[in-house]
Amino acid sequence: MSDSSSAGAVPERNRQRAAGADLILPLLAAVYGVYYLWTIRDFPWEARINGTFIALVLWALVAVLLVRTWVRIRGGEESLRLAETLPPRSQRLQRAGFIALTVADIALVPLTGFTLSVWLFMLFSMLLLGVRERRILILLPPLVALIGYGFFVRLLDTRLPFGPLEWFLGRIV
Amino acid sequence: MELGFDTLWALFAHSMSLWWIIVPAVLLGIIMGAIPGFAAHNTIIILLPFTLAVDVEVGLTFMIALYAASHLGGGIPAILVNIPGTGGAAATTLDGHPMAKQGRAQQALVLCFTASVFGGLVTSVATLFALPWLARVGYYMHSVEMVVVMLFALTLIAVIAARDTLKGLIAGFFGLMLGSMGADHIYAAPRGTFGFLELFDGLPLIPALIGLFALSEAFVMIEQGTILSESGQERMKRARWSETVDGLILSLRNWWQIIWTSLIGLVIGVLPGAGASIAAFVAYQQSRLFSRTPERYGTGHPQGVIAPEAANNGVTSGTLVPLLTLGIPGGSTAAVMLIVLQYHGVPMGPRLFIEKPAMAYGVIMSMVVAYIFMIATILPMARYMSRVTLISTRYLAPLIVCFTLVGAFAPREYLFDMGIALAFGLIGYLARKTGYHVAAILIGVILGPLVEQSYLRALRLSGGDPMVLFSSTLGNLLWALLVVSVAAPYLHAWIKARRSARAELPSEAR
Repeated sequence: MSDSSSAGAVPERNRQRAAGADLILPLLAAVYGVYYLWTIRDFPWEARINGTFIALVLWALVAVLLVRTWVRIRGGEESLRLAETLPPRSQRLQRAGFIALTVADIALVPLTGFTLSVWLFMLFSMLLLGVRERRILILLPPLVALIGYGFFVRLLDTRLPFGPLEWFLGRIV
Repeated sequence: MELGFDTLWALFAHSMSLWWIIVPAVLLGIIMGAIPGFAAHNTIIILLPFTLAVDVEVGLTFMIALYAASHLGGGIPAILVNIPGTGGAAATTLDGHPMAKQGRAQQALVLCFTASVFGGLVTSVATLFALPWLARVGYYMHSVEMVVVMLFALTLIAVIAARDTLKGLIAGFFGLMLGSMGADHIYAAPRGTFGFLELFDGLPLIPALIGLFALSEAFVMIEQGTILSESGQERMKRARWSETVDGLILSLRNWWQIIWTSLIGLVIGVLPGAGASIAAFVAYQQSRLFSRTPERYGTGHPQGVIAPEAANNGVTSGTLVPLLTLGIPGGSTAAVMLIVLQYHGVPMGPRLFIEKPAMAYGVIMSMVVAYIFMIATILPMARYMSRVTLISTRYLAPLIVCFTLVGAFAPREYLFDMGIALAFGLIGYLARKTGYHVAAILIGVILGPLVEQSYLRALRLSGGDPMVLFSSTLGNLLWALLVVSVAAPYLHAWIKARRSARAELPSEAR
């Protein structure tokens, strides 16, 4: 057992690879496989064969991964820590905030419309990511929103969610 | 119609005279191809009033040029920001984006453009002369053969996850599981849809692609100030026009690679429903298989950009074959072209070659001319496009999210699809952070439903006998090639290891 207080020695904890997060996606996949098979339990065999085969292979692969991880944890090569998967503490808020802004953008676009949602999303996400130049914060979001409106709504006639800015621009253009 | 020199020259000159419609179509196609979610068929549908109003030859030329250019355009964001503009460019991200991160974006773009253009040119000319024979390919490729072709593409899952095969297989099978979502092909019974009607037709590909590649990339890229590595930043600051020339020379040195991978795209393009994504993945996998340096694939290897791009554009010529010869559209874009042709009273199938042979061959010649104009318009822009990689991620990430969410919404105009893109964005983010390859997930999502459809059709035709998969000569040949493709890398590695071990032994012991 190494003496972690010795100068230059690497603590054993830090020599182990954090593998906890590696299990999230496989477990998610396995759970979806269970749900999928539950939804097809009463179906004719043609409707079941493909999903059943894939789910069985997927479970087998996940089981192999779990065994491999357990063996490596027992051997001291890995641990179930998640820490190294997450960004540094200073960036976690930024990352979570950016994802939250994306969720809010999608949720609010039926109310605000496409153009205003782009404007607001650009403004708040640039602020969150550390942009502080006033000129850029004032000019870039509306410019991007107007380019998006001109290109997608006017030129390509894409039927994006309609909001107050689309109404206003439709009257003046 | 005899395709002598005079006839060919007349067709070529006539197509060149339509430069005024080809050049705008090429520029529009490149832009639309570069925006995820806005594929060629969306754009052609939007511009349908224009194509219906003009002369049928002008309308067809416009659609062909736009279609071919959109396939090229899809590679641009794939290289610069790791977001494929079209499904056919997904394989380009594997080596194109690593090149961009190393500050070689200009070179990668030139490789993409030249491989696309020359691949498209080769296959267009091949189609012109081999049209009757290519038309027969569709007669020989039935459900069984289609299953094996798609399995070729599926084996790429293991190839691209070479560092951790177990994780690669899990990602691929997760994609296959998600791709199985939706109504089955026989009873239309919904499977694994969480009760959402929007998922009844299965997982929509574009929102899944946008989420896996675009949104997840945006979530990851904000960790760094720029896309480029440190050395990449230094290299980009020193970028000169000579890099465009270097890229051009490198492409031309790989001329044989361009030809044979584009022919893969041509053959797969002839098969209705097969698509550019299958062609690109198969070409990438085959290119790696026959390479002397397969370990370099995935690290920014030029051939890893050339192969999928040549195949991606080889598909464009192949798609025209069933449309012109049989009147069967091979994909959504061909279906829209069929609408325009029917509107103008143009007969499809063999009658087209009897009543209007000049139009039939003229369509293919207009594709040749479109590719010639493409290289002249796009090649000089590589240097300026590559500078996108210098933009700070503080601006790039929000821009990517804004515009790609539009791309997720546009195909079906469901807000639900934006939610799908977000869900896949989170899955893709988690995958990137934990060593699972998002391309493996995407391959499963794309190919899962296609394999199931062909497999079930084969089973139905055989009355439920699974041995139908080994019932045709062509199918068995393809199975043999598949086994060789899968086994060859391991066999090669084993032989190499044995040779190294023998070389290390003292001479007396050998």
